[in-house]
Amino acid sequence: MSSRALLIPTLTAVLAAAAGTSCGDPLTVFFIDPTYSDYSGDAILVLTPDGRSFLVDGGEKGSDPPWDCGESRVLPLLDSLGITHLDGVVATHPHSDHIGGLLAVLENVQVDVVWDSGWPYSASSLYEQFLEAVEESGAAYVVPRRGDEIDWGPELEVTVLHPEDPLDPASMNNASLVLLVSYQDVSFLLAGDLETEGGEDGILDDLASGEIESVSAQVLKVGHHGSFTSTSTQWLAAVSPLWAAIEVGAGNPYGHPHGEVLSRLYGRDIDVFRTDLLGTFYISTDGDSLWFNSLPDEEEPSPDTTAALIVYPSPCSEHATFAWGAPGDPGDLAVFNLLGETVREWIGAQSPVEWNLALPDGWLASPGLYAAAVVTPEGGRWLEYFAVVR
Amino acid sequence: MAGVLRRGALIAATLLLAVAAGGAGASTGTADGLLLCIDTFPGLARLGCCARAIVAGPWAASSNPALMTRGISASGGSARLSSTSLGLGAGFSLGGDLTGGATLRWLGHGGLTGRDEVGEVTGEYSWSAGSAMAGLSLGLAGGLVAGVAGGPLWESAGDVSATGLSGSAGLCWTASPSLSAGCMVTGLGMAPDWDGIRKDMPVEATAAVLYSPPGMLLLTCGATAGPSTAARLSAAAQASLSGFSVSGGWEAVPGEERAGGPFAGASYTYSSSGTYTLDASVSRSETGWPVSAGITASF
Repeated sequence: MSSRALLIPTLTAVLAAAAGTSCGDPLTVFFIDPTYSDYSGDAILVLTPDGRSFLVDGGEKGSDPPWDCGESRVLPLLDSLGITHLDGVVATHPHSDHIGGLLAVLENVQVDVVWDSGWPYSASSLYEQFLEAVEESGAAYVVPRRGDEIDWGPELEVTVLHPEDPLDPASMNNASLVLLVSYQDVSFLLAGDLETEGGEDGILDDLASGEIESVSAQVLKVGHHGSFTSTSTQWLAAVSPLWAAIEVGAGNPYGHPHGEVLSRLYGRDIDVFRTDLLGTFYISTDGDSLWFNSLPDEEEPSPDTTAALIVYPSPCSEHATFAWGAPGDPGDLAVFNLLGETVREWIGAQSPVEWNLALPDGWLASPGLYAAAVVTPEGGRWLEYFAVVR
Repeated sequence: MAGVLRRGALIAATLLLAVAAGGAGASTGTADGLLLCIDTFPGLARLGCCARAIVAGPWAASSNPALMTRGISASGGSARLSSTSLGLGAGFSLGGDLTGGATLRWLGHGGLTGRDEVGEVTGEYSWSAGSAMAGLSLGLAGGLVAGVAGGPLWESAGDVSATGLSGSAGLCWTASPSLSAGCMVTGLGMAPDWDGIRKDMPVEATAAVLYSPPGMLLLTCGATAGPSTAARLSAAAQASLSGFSVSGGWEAVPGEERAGGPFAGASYTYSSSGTYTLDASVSRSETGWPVSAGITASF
């Protein structure tokens, strides 16, 4: 059985469960994993309560190595969900890690409307190919601006928070279309690659002047893959999210998400969900509550992989944090030393686990090489080596 | 002869019980320098963790210094936690009943993911530990041999390192050509100094007996215990024919489900203007099956 076939009953069941736990049908937002080699990007699929489908960006299309997020991730997901028609596509800005995958989507799926930043300056040949693909698809082409309302169905309010004319020719990131998608009491803020300077600051100025009514959202799609140039403290205070979703490739060469941004998020007690750690995941809401879930791995969990358990800081001298899966994920965690002795164990723990290096008898763990192993209730088993120093 | 065997068995049993009892209440995880507790020479490892108290070789400066023999030995392979091991040993006669020896051992693990306080990847780093030991042994009356050894110990992780000193002492008693017993105390000395802080040394007492009746068979068992490491028991059997030997056994670590398990090994000895032995060993660990191989030349 192919991995794609496996997705269908799983997704159907989860979406049905989400609907069944609420008064109405759910709004579901998929954050598609853009990980491949050192590629990153954004690709977000929105399924509305009345059955409409919208795609916000399509991920990277690169040549070295050759890979197309649209072909490899977006289209298979649409296929799994039985979606053959998109009510709309949003191209937040012309960078290849956002519009690259849209070409394959436009070529293979019927699209009614394309909302684009309308970047008026010179751009890449990829952006020209994208505009040609839009034209050939027959989709309506719309360039919205701050304050515009977009029709995503009667249950949703979709407000364009950014950009304003004229666009800054020096910052393609700040041309990003930023959408506030609201369903009853729950909102998602999709920030594209919006940066703080010239982006978030402008929105906050208009918020202060009353030109923008609100940017408050329960779920924030963190801007620019978690770069420190985005997601300022003031921005987070204004948005005040409960959950943060970070679209980022696991092998990206930029160090995204940056520690500064993670510190700001954790400092506000915001739950963080990352595609580089979780793969593709989705967040659903009935307009009141939120649910999170991740897609099943395409491969069986591999024992002794180090991909899903991280230990930090490493090497550690005063404390260590063990994190696996999403915050709150359960697992049995053990730390053992060079002799195979179990120096510390947590049964039924929840990620992340903080360890002050104290042993059960009160002594501090000695310097040396250690291994941390976690076993999840689903049978996932991960291992990570780290050193303790003084 | 029977009396000698009974006396040897009685002494060995007493040593094993004393060592095992000493392991009760060990505070595991509190000792630094765990390299000192690990066999990096397959000639030892293939007969179990406690065989280091009774198996002679050029490597014995880092195990039971009473068992140093003339020759040289070199080995390499993998060790616990997917680390890499290297070992060099040499023994030489100092005249009369005096034997000298030295060893150099190293464990390392590269490619560890470095992360900062918020989990950000900062690069890769490596961990390593090593020890150099030099020792002397002296033959005493009645088949008794005593030895001592000592030398520096070091450890590093990333750009942080520490050094200390280690020492060991041991006895070996050959009761008959087929029966011998050995005991040793290892992990003495001064733990590596990490920015002014020193932890415990992994002091361990080990006792083992080796029974080698005429023929193909060799049996050995022993026990190890210390205040800051888990007690370990091991037993092994070896069968030899025409220079080939195969061995296997079991290591038990009461109360430690991730430690212990089966081990095995093989060796081939060739004699021509000297004796050359190829050794290989494999054992079970939580993170895989460490293997090592080595060559020993005895003159």
